[in-house]
Amino acid sequence: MAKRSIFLALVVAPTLILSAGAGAADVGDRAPPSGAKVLVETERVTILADGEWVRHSYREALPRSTERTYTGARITAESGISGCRFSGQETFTDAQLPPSHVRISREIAFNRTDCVLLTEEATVRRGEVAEEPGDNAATTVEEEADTTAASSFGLSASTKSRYHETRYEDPPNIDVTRIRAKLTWTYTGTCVTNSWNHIGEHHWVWGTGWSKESSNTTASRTCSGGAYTNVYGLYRNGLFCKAILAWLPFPLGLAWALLQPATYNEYNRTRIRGNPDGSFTSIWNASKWGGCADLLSFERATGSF
Amino acid sequence: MVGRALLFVLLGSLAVSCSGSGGNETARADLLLDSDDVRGVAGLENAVAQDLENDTIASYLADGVEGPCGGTISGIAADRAFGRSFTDESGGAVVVELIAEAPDATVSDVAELEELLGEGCDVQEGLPGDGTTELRAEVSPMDPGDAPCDSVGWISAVTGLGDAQFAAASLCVTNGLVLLVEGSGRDESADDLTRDVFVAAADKLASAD
Repeated sequence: MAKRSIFLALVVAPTLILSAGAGAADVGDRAPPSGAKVLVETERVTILADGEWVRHSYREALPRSTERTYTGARITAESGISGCRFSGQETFTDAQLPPSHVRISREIAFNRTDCVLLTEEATVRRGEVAEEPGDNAATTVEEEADTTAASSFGLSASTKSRYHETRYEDPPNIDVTRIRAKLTWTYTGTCVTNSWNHIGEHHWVWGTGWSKESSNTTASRTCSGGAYTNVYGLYRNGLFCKAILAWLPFPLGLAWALLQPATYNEYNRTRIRGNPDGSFTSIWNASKWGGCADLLSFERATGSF
Repeated sequence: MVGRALLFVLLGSLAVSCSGSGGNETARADLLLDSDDVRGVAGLENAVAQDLENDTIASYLADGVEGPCGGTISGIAADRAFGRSFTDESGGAVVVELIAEAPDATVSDVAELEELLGEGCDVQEGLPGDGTTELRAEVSPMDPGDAPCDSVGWISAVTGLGDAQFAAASLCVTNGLVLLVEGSGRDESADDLTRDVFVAAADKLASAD
C-alpha cells in the first residue's frame, strides 16, 4: 500500500501537479491528517493516501454542505479484482429542492478495505458551483399544469421534469464517465397519470482509452408506484493507469505500468423516480475497480430540466 | 417485492389451475388472444401463434428470435403457465401473453416490474466503445393507457444503444385475473406490438364473464 502510494506520488502528467511528500494545500479546516501522503494535487483537489483511506481535499468546499457516510458492499469482478459498490437514494419535495437549485454530492473520502464512502452534499443555486452539470445551467425550467388525462377526471394535475446524474471524475475535474436519467411525469397527488422524456444519457471521454462496454435504459410506470427512468452503464479504460504509471523512470515505470489492470466504472443503475405526490427520488448504485481507480471520485447531481 | 410476490401468486394459481379438468383448459383458452385477434396489430398480421408447454416457448428460443433483452422468459415457469406466444413472420419480434387467477393482486411497485423483463436484461448487451462520447436513449413508453384494467403497470427497455434490442412488459389486474404481456424485438416497433397486444388482451379479459 505504502509502496503503491509512493509510486503514485511520483506520477507526473501534464494536467497534474505533483508534490510528493509535501503537505496538502491550505484548505482551512479541511487540512488532511498528519502522515497522509499526497497522491495527486491539482488546482482543484489534493488526493491523499491516509492508511486505507483515500481522501479528496477540495480547495473550495461546497456551500452549506453536510457530510454523509455510506457503507458499501465488496464486489469481485470476473477478472478477480475487487472493488466496492455503493448505493443510496434521496427523495425531494420542491421545498427541499426547488427548480432553481441543484442537489450535489461528491466523494471526499473512500476506504477500500471496509468499503466506506464519505461524501459532502449540498443544495446550491444553479450555477453557484462548478460541480453542477454543465449543460443544465441554461435550460429553461417549466412547471406545467396538465390539461389532459388527469384533468378529465376532475383532478388537478401538474407536470415536472427532473434528472439524476452520476459520474466519476479524474483529479483534473474531467468527467471520465457519466450517466444521466431524465424524466417528465404528470401527477395528481395520489397517482402518476402520464410520463415521457424517459431518457438515458451516456458520456465518456473517448480518445483517452475510455469505452462503453454495455448499457441499457428502461422506463416504467404505475399509478401509485410512480414513473421511473433507469440507466445502466459499464465503462472500461485499459490505459488509464498504464498512462499514469508509464511516467515513472524507465524501465521501472514501463514494467509497473504493464502490470496494471484495466479501470472500470459501473452504474447499476442510475434512476430518477417521479412520485404520485410530486416529490422525486434519485436512486444510485455505482462502483469503481481496477487500476488506479482510487484516483477517481464519485459525484452525483439531481435537478430540473 | 410486490412484483415477485405477484409472480408467486401467479405461479401458484397457475399450478392449481393447470391441474384442473379439460373444461377449465377450454375456458382458459377462451381468455387468450388467438391469431385472428392479433391480425389487426401492425407487424403481427401473419403471426404464428403457439401455446406454451413443457417449460418452453419454442418460437421464443428459435434461432434468430430473442426474448426480452436477448434472454429467455424468466421468473415465469412456462410449464405451469397459461399463455400463448405470437411471432411475427420475420421472426424479429415475439409477444407472449400469460394469464393467471390472482384475486387479491395489485400492481403497485414499478421497480419490481423490471423482473418481468427477464434475466436477459441483466446480460447487459452492448457494443464496446463505438467511437461516440455521447449517447442518448429515449425509451418510448409502452403506455397501455386504454387498457381496461383495475390496476396496470408497464416497463420498457432499450438495450445496447447502437445494436439495440427493445423489450417491454405490462401487467394488468382485472376481474380477479392477472394479465402479463411481454414483447421484444430488434426495433422500436416491439414496444408498439406489445402495447397493442396488451390492450387487445386486456379488452378480452375485461369482457369475459
